[in-house]
Amino acid sequence: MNCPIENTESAGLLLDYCRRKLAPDTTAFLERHMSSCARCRAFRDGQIALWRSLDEWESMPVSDGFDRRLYSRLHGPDAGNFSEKPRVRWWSWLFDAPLSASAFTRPAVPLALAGVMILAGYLVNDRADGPVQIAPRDAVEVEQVETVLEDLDMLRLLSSRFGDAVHGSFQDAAIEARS
Amino acid sequence: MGASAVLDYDARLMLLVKHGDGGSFALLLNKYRGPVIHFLYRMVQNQAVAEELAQEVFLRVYRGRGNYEPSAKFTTWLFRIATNLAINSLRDGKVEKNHEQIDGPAGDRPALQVPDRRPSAEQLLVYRVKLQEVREAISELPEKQRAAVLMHKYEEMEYSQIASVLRCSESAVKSLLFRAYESLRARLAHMDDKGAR
Repeated sequence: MNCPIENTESAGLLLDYCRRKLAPDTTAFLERHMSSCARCRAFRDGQIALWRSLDEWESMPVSDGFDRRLYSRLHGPDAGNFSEKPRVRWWSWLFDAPLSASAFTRPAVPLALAGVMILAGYLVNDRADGPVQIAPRDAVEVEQVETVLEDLDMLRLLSSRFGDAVHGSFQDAAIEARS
Repeated sequence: MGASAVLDYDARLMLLVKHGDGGSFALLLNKYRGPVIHFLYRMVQNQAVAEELAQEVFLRVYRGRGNYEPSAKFTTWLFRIATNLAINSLRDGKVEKNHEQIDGPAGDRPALQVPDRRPSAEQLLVYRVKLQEVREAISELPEKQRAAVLMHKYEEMEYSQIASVLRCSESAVKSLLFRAYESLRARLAHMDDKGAR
């Protein structure tokens, strides 16, 4: 036979031989080969010694609280119970696009969201400003009359200084404004 | 595994977990808690980090129960999760500064198994030096080689299963193992000369 050590794949045979995992006939065949092949014997001896060294490395015992910690995480707020189906958030339909959805349709979701948010912002802002303040009609008229009366007072003052002729014409104007 | 093939026992348990059976999850946890933690411990060489990663492995198994399909052996799926987490942890460098020292206080380490029930100080020292060398030799292997050696040597997994975990071909696994063992033999040869035989 070709020496198994020549080929990394067939060297697996030697590893299996060292692990005693080969069928009896293959084992016998390899042993016959090794009796005349120093390289394969060296490989076998080196491998057995290596595994003996690796056996020195024992693993640590598992800490006592391992299961308790695991179950507390399993039954934590996000875990649910064994009988429960996985929780589905109400907004998941928005982000978990169906597998059939085209990759081109996926950017539409954030764009649509942005549009909705802009519209909502506009509406909220509009409402915060409140309706346009329209003064009642009566209030406007009172203001106008007051202004006219003030003007009349000023005219009276002027007329007392510049004569009765002017006074008469201004009085007519005042009567007209009151009506 | 073909659809018609008989499911392995663990895969059947996992299908029960998928349908809400907590008892089956407990059985799987009980069976694989040790192997997963030991594998992770040897990968990252830190007990606390190994247990934290193992918690994450079982959390992922539980959370992924809805999508579980028994297309491969359960252990393949389990060790694939564990290997990926360990490799990511090593790449993130989370464990590098946290390396446990073998010559530190004994703490919760298992009792030493030496022929003499009461090891002398010299035997203890020799044991610790050897162990430290083994650990260093393993940690010097590239991640994939390390994972392959640990699954092959300590978990006694088949080439096909290791290949499935590492997502490579069976011949690639044999090649990985051959190179890894070659490095280890060269690195640890002097230990054998000191009288292991």
